[in-house]
Amino acid sequence: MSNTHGPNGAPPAAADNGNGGRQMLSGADMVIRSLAREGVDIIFGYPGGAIMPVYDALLDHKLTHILTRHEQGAAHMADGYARASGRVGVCMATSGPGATNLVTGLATAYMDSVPLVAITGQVSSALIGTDGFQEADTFGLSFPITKHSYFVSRTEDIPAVMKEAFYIARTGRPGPVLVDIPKDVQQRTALYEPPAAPVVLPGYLVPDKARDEEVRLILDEIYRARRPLLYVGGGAITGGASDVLRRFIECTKIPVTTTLMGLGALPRYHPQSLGMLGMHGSVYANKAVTNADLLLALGVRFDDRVTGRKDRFARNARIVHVDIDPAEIGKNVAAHIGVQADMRCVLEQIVERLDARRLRDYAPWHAQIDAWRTKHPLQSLASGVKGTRDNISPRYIVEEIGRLAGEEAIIVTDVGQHQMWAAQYYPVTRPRGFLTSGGLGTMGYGFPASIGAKFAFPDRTVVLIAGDGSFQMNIQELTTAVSNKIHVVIALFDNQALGMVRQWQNLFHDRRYSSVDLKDNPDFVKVAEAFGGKGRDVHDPEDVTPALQQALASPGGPFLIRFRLHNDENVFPIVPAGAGLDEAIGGEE
Amino acid sequence: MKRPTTICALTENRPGVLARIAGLFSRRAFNLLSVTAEQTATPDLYCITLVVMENDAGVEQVCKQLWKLIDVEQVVTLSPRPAVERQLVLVKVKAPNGQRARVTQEADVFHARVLHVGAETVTLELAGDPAQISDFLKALEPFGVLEVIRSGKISLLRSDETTFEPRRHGERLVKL
Repeated sequence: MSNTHGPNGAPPAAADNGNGGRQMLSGADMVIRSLAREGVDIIFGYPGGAIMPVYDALLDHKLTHILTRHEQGAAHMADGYARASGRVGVCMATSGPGATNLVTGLATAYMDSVPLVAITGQVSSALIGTDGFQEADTFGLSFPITKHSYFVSRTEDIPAVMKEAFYIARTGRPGPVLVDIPKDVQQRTALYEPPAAPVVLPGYLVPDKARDEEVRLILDEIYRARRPLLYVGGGAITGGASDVLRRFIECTKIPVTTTLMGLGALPRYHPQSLGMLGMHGSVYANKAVTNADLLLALGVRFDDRVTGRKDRFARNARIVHVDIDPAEIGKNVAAHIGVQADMRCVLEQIVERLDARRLRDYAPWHAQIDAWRTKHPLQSLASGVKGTRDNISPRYIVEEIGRLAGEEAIIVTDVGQHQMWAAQYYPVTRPRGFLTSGGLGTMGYGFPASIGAKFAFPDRTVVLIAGDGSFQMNIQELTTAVSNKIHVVIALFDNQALGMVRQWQNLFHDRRYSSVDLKDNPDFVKVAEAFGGKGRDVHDPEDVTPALQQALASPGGPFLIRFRLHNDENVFPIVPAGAGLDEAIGGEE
Repeated sequence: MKRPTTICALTENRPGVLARIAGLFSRRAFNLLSVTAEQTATPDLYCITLVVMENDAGVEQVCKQLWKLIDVEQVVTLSPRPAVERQLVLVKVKAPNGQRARVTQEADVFHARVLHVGAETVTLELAGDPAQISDFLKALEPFGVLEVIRSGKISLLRSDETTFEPRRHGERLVKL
């Protein structure tokens, strides 16, 4: 960072126009200039007092700004845009309540390693620490929920800070970065100097390849194993490792189970895919974990919703853990071999050196898995069964969406039962085709995220699978979708209850239902129409297909289909919290 | 088994570094015994010395989480490697007229300094390793200790080797 500044940050006397990009600019112009340099074409935000200079500067530039109806919506839209495209999402808000409204979105992105840059206005320097109007310690709030954050006290620092922010957000294990800028720092004029490339951060290293000896150790484990299993997570998506993953499994024939965040790393119906593991994973995936003698854990973090009781997790297996974040290795489950590296690089190194003749015969292992698959299929909700009036089968709706939306479609979910049904049954075929809040489990994430995804890919079909509880948490973004003609199909699974909480009360609290009744839901179709969108009510299973066809073929704005489900429909199998993966309820033959 | 371990972190002098580290300890429920932060010979670098009470896996997590902070350049675990360790203690002891000489005698045994002599009390200073300081405080107990304040521990490797590597751009180091 430049250390040249006059008293009070006063700019040097002579402006330096047309000289290597150096010129006098306001801090606000520097923010916009920096965004343009990073290739940003869209920002999601909401103005307010302390960010007004940047909003003013926006008028003189070509950047598209999408005015959301709540700052939380802006953060989730930037997140959906980033997850769908792999680019850095940008959101912007004012100080105080504007910034605190971003908090949930930043925490959501942090837990799922999504690259975001959030720009917040702050009260003027002279007011900081005085409890000024709309003052909150945004920088302090950001520490536990961002990858990194900046408080910018000098205008001339803005270009370098912005460059670092984008670099940190998108490299290594991606994550959100917050840049907090006081209003006077945005207003002041200083000499703009294009930041030097590359970014030098002595305290930040981006891992890439594994060492040769580490690759040899992993290969030795693979050659020794009779019952190997791949456990693949979101690292495969963020690391762009899908192609090499597929090459690796097709030349080794090792079966694969993915986490919720790893869905899409491999097509759902790839013959070697066992689908999702964990609390709502298939019985055969969980049995494979319990019985494997080698678990290759790639880009995963052994989350409690995946492992269940940790001392029973993969208890017969040697564990190889590859992650780009060294702090994940050994954090939750000890690995026999831990490798800090980029998953795509490691898989490429392995594929290059693999001697397929040295692999053991996995035929007995495959036969065992096939037997489990036959005995415990994922059929607590049978395929092809449509349900009855006001009791439509959620699996049927999910599979119909999968059939009609096409392979190019981006599926976004909210959080709850519908999310797990979507994860279990949606035929995801591609990375970045299934967007969901996995780590934080943020209700209200789905709808704004689906809008963000549609902004990233206006020509692709985007379908939101939402619950009646979740959808109401950011329902105000209907306006944003309508005013920008965003065609998102909202498949609202309305069981007039907070279904997942109700399910837990049903199974684990003696059916003592506490605060889960949503019988007073509004008429969602009328709500959608009041906002200027379209809607259709579906009570009968026979109407599912025509309603979806109509919604998919109605561009120009959001289309909400309200599907009426019964509130006693539960998600199975379920591994009770604290139980081992081999102790699931449901999913029996 | 949990035991005290000294960890040194070399950090950039940026706003919020100490708050980020403190936040890490509360958020991840790591056990922190003491913390000391001061500038190093390089003005833009600070050394933060932490004493934690953790088992081996806990110490490893602390180091990795510290290392993950972008403002932290290097993380070094000192214990159980041989290290020189120093703590500073200030102690106010009851010393009415008849007792003052005995108190200062005891202080001499430990090579402590007398900082202030009042009508009823004496204030002493001692820098030493933590065990020495504990012995000193125990020896003063019979006189009546009124107040004690100890600094966090600071520490360097007891060898020709420097604790931190010379700064190299684009390189991060974690020594476990």
